[in-house]
Amino acid sequence: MTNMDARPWDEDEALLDQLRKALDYAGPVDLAVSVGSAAFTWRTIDDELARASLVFDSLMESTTRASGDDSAQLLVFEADSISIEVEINPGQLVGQVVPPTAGTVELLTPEGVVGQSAIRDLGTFTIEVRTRGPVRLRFHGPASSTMTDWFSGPR
Amino acid sequence: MRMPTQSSSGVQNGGNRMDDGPDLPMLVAEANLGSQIAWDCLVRRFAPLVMAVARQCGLATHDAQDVMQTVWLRLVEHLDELREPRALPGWIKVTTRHEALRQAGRANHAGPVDALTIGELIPGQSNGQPDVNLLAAERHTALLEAFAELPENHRRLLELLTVDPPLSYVDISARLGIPIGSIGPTRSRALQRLRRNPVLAALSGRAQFEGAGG
Repeated sequence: MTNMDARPWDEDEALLDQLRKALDYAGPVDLAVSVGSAAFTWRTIDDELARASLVFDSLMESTTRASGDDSAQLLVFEADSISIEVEINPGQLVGQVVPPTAGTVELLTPEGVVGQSAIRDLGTFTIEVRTRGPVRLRFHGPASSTMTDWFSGPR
Repeated sequence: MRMPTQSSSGVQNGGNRMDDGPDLPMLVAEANLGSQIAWDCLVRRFAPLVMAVARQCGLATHDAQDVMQTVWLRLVEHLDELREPRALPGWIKVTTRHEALRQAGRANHAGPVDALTIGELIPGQSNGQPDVNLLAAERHTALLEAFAELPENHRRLLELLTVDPPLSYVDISARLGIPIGSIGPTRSRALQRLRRNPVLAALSGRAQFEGAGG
């Protein structure tokens, strides 16, 4: 308590105490470490696939949407030749490949492929999501395959 | 309450190094060559910072953990694009904040989230007063960022010096395999190094921070 006066880390004891508080604030990290460790297996998986990077997230836009508007979150991922738009709804992703291309879309979690959907007319697709946490999409077209960045799926 | 962990701290040729040089570039380089051990060291090192930034954005534990998993998965694929290993703490902080704000926006069904609404997402920030909790959270994340940049031997020692219940120097000496007599001097070198980190220096210089205690 006393170290809140003036600079709280001039003295060694005070600094150590501040560090203790900071580490307590972060909380236990054991799960963080095991989850993080497992992520390394993705380092070279599908290295050769084209990557579609997140270029738009409706949640990050300061639009005129009113607070409390419950319209779905929209994400747009772009690769060189195609873009993949995804609307995140409760329990499912509804998306579209632009320009419309025949093929399939797979849903991946850190554990692997958990779902798949054929691309319909106009490039649209729907995939059920039954897990929480990060997901990504892998699109297989006639000519090439594309993988999106990781994003947070439906809660 | 944090209990001491039994984790191994070392990278193949870095675990026993006793010099005080920065080892972050080495860890990044080894992880980029495929070393799981180096990667695990990076994860262990930055996990508290990621969790603290996520909490600072108003996330509860479960959401913070989801965010953290996304951050690691992104980092795995972007690590080799980092031109300068020293940019890593900044990359981690920004990526975590973005993901956390997305998650917070969804959790609150609050529509768009931007810097102006961050305050509303943090409890106790609505009364228009400079918030002591907010300032404390800023101080926590700054300290954890500086802490993550310490060399492994310094980090390990300070970690053991802050556990609850406290460990004796005899215990610490046994856990780290270093002489009891070196604990005191290493402790003060580690703290001095922590204190000199520019992130802390910047925070110390701010008037509102100086007055944080009221």
